[in-house]
Amino acid sequence: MFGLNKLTDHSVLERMKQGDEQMLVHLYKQHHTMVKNFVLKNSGDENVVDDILQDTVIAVWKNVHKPDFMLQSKLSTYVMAIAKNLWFKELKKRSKFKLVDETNQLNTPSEEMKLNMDKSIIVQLVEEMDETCRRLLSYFYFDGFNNVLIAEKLGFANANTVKSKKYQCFKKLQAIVVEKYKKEDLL
Amino acid sequence: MINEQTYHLINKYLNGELKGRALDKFKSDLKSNEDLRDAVTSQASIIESIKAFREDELKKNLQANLNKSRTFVIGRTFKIALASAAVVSLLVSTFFVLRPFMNSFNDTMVSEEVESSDTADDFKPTTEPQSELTQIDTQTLAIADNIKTDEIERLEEELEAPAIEVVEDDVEIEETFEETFEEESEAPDEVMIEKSAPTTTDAKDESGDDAIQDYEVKADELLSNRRYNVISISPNFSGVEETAATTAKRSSTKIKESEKEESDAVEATKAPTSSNPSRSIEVEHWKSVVNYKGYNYDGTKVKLYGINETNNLEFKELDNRLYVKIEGKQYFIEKNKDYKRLVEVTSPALLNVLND
Repeated sequence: MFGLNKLTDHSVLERMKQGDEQMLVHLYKQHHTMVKNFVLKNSGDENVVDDILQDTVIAVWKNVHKPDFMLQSKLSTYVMAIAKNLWFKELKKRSKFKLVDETNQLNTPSEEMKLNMDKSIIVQLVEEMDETCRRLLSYFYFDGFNNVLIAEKLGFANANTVKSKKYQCFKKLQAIVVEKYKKEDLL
Repeated sequence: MINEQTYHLINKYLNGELKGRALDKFKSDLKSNEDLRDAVTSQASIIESIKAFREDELKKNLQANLNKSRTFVIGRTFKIALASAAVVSLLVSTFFVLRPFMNSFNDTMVSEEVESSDTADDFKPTTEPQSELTQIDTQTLAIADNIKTDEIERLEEELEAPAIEVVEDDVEIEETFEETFEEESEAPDEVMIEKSAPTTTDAKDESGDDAIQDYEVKADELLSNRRYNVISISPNFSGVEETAATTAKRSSTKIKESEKEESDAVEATKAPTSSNPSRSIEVEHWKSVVNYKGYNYDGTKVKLYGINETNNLEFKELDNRLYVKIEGKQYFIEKNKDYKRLVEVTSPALLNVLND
């Protein structure tokens, strides 16, 4: 990690686009104080700073890999804007929960909670997949890597191989999910 | 299960990459085809789960990296602290290991200094506190403090001790011991010889002071020996009133020694001045091992240390006190058994008398 402090915004973004996860740590460290000060000044506490900052750098990571991404300000300004949005969203969510709690409308699990439970089951299944499929699907759906970059990172021959391999992996995962739900229905 | 083409089509639709007619056609198919609707819903939820998994993974990696870097920083700090502690302990242990050698070296130097003085003019070292500390060189003080007759004798014996021989019988040991003892007892009192390492290799004492072997014992060196005429000064009465008045005024602020000098000057000016070479004095120029600068005067001979032998010296005697002029400056020579520093005469009245 020595020498990362001297990286320019451009080189940080370039390295992120190449899938260098160390840049997440770099962004985190670079903006920790700023985000912390902001959160603490806006009804926040120390406990949420880390969560907000993690969500912020991951949002930057996701956005950077979008094809139409273009940085129009300093990277720190951009990071702070995302952190502010996330914190205000969190505050809004908290006030909303408070309101719901006060009116005692959360006695039964909502549809959203059921969806969340389904999601966590599938997440567990993703985690149990083989390394290559897991990485391939993650890179494509979450990181937004294109097929060329995925081929480069996972050692495939070309983008077409990635495309067909992606389908096979997804089909495999879908089959496992279907199987899992069939078993749960039986139970 | 959907085919590969439909899978990619759904991906494009969910990513918002379908445009124009393709998007319209897909939407109309979605309305009419229930299997497609289920496939889209299923695919969307699986993709959401994959995203959630990856986000979780990234967060875990991030946290692990942060912890690692924190551990690295702590580890680095710990290592630096450890290295510092090691250096300090090394220095301390080195100090304690070398201290006996240093003491041994100092003792050797002291004994040599004392011996040289003894052989030169029966000078006996003393451990008594010096009364005039301000006039004694720090080297002299150090030497005087460290002189221990027992240790000097021990070191002398060690220097003269023969190599230890391995003997088998107790009788032989006794004989060897007796011989050694006789040899030691016959050893000369004065150790003024420059000893080299091999002669003391086996002369180790219990405290492990075997460092003597690494040092050459050196004595003070006599550079030259000359005789000088001592001009005896008899003061006259000229300017008595003025000198006495000046002396009285200054006497309140001068130190004791200056007062002494002033009174000498006053006494000197009370009698008529006449300079007569009355006697001669033997002067030896010595070079001290410790670069000591001073003198020793036993009443008949002056030993000068650290004074350039090429300098022209001028000795004068006033009221049974001896003064020497070196490089234009007058110094007071006091009869003493000890070694003393040269004290410059500062009293203007006395200087006038001496320089006249």
